[in-house]
Amino acid sequence: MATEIGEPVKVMALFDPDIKPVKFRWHERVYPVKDVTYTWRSSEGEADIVHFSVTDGASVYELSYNKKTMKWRLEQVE
Amino acid sequence: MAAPRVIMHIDMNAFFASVEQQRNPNLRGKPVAVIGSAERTVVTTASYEARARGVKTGMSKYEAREKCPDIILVAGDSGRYVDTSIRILGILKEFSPKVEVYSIDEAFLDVTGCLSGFASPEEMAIRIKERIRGELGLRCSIGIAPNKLLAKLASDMQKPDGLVTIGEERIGAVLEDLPVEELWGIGSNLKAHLNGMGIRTCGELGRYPVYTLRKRFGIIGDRLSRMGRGEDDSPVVPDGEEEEAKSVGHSTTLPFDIADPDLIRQYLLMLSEMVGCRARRYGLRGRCVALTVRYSDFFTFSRQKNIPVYTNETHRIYQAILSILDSIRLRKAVRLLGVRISSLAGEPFQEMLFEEDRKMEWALAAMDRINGRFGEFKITWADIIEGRRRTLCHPSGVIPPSWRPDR
Repeated sequence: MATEIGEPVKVMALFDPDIKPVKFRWHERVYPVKDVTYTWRSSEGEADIVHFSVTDGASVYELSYNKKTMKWRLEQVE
Repeated sequence: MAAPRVIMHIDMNAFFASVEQQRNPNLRGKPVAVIGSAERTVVTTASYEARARGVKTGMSKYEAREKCPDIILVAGDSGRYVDTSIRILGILKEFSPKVEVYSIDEAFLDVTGCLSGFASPEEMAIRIKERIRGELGLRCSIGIAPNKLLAKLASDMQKPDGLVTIGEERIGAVLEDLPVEELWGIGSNLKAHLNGMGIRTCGELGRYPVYTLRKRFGIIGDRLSRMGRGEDDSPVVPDGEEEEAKSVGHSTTLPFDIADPDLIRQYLLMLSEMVGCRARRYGLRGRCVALTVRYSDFFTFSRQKNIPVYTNETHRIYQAILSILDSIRLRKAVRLLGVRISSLAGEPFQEMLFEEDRKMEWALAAMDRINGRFGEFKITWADIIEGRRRTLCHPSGVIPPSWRPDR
């Protein structure tokens, strides 16, 4: 089962024009994004949020990007 | 005579489970059941691997584990499925402007007149399947027929990843020995009634005297007779042109059975706010307010009352709900609560006469604007906040069969 995290993270991503996370740092460790397996969108009020399911080859992580605040979060790990 | 229509029915295969398997490669090829996030949840969709092991929609997670001890349970995310469904609709609308959303994972397309550039309807269906597979990694079954009834039947005939056409020339042969319950719209009750009349197959239904069917079933007798012959002239109603809503409602299965009247009232206030907020967003007001209660033993009932004025104001809905609640004696702890308004009217509305009412209207409008900007329930009623300090949970995102994309 997934573990909810809900913490801000630093993400290196390409904006070209679609957003593609390349790697992220969480608790001082850098996780490479080997594959973006799924993306979907949601909203919170006026803010559009893009969700990415990504894998480093071992685990699956959900990253979210708030297009209004331009902040990334690690939502869950499984 | 008009040219025969070409209707497609697109059915996403094990939709929620397929999205999860696509999202998490570790789930692919394994028995997966998508469940709600609450403790007492049921299986909403099972992957084909899980279905092969006897896991079915509606089973509790304990029953699912009994059938398939190595089943992987995944808490569903309605936002993920809604967004995926909207993207699928976007693909379908590139093939025809007449796309009817039947549910979150099913749609009808009227492609009559849209086939130039394709050698056949089947070629268009293959292109649709390729687009959905290529862009989202998901499979679907497509049925092609001259009407919605037969297109839906055709898509059910080959799963997963099927493509079946029922052409005019094949209708009689397909229906002759087909059990009546295979037809869309014939459920277990109707099947039992028809079987009781000696009607077991569609062929028998189509030949049965219409007069007797009409006498037994009223106005649907004619429709049943036509269904038996594979006739259906209902149009594909494009997304956005559906009939106006007849009611606005929300319900929630509680995280545990609740007998505490205060907590029940807090849930009802939250549901009243959700109903009021949605009605205000669509410019609707209702004069009939209904409360639905399901006990711990699944006994379910609804009570409704008419109120003097059309309203979409949370506190008025809540007051009406409380007066219904006060008129009944709850015999058991409650498992589910629902609030609904009906007898709807749209704008324009008469302006409120009294300043107090106008102030409440302004306050609600301000609250809706703030929540629209920062997210739902960011500003809300004190009792809901108080309830959250205790055990009040926001209703999980259950997707009702009546789901349609927001516009």
